[in-house]
Amino acid sequence: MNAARRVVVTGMGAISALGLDATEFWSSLSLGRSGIAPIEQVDAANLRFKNGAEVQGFEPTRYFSESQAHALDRFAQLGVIAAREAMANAGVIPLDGSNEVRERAAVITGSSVGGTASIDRGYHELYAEGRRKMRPLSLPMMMANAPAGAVAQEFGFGGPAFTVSSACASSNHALGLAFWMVRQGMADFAVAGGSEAPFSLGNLKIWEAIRAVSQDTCRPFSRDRSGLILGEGGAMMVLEPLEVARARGARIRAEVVGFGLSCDAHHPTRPLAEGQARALRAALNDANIPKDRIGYVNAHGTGTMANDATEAQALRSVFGDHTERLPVSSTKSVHGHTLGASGTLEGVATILALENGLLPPTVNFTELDPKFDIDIVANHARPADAEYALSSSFAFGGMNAVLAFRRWEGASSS
Amino acid sequence: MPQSSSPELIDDETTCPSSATLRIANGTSHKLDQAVLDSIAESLRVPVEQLSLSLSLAELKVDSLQAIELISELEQAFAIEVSDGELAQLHCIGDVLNLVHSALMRRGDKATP
Repeated sequence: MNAARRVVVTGMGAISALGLDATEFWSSLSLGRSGIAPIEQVDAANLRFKNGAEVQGFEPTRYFSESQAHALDRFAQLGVIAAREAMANAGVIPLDGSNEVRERAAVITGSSVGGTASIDRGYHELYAEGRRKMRPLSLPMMMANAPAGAVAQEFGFGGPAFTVSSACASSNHALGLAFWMVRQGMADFAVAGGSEAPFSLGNLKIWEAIRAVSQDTCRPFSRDRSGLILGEGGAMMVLEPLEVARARGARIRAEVVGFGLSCDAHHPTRPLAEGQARALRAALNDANIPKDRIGYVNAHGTGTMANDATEAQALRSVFGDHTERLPVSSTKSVHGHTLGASGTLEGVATILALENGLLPPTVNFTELDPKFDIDIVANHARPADAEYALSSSFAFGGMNAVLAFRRWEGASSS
Repeated sequence: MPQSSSPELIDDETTCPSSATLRIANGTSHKLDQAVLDSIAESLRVPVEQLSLSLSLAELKVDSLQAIELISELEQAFAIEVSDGELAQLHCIGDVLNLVHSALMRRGDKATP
């Protein structure tokens, strides 16, 4: 086994309610232009909530042949599109080198529920429409690892490939595991991230039943917040060992420096500050950086009463007095809660914030919940010279995953 | 703005006045009350005899998720709609009965399932 290697991000891709690629994503994100709008993919007449964050102007056949599009659920399509962008951004289509290189390339993805729209449609046909047979493609379309398989197939990666499902932390777990695998020499190249497409009536009715979705909009950390807004999207990153990236003259976007995981071991849906704090501390320990070097936190910040209260408490308990100098934003207020995609989508937001020296805002913000003692980047982006940043995901099931990134400064970063 | 009563939330220390009574008490509601109590007992998996108006959900160790499940069962059984704000106000069994009465009145009838 190799000694621990430094790991860098050399490519990023994102498709979301903020646009069809990472460039459009940042344009909207930095301006705080929200992608939340009335839901279009599903008739919301019989739903308590009417708003969502859907990808606008998405035409699958711009990206896939008719038969490919037919065989991939929307969540898998979004994952593949983000992976293609990340690969192109890294300048590795095709991935140069021998078969050996491709055989050590990993694909690790995250999804909360897989191809839920395909499952929903299939069961409706079976139970309500009198169809006697399920469609044969149901299985490959619903399986949560479909995007990982499709990406590996498209780029000919023969190394480790698997999918993590930890609800809303799925793609932070996927990205973190990919980081560790590259760091430890278990893979020399990785595409990692997540995707989710939750807009099917059955799935939306499930979210309605659990009463976590706002009937209005997403207002993280505001006193008058009223729940989350569901979003869809795909986000992927290319990770490589620093030396390999340097040797091929890659444009390095950021360094991944730490990954922390924990479980609340407490309740299926009610979060616990101490559990979240353990993951934040573990990420700082893994990165081996003092807490006062962190200059930005992209929070989980769902906009529910309990999440934001718990997260504010966890941040305070980890960062102490530094909390007063630590800007926090929840970009879910613009791109919605993309569930299994959220960890990596927000990781992309975090890296773009470090690159641009500009922290994206928490929009729809009215006034800080008086019980919180944290610095929210409210409504407008804030210039900031942050070197290190955290991106947090705290999932149902009490599963927490936090990533730490370092701004890349070219030759001076050694 | 309705307050969110997300599944993550419930107050642990909610108490109920021992003198809790139904705001709407008359002869015709008795049958309805019994039906609601039966539904509550079934949803919470406790004997109906154990339920009293002043018994708090906290005493029954009903967590946030179970409270949401209870209200969902009542919405289905009595064809009513309960808002997040109303759900956040529930502390004891009497509150649940009152809530069903209010929701039925809003609906404009007192139909039983």
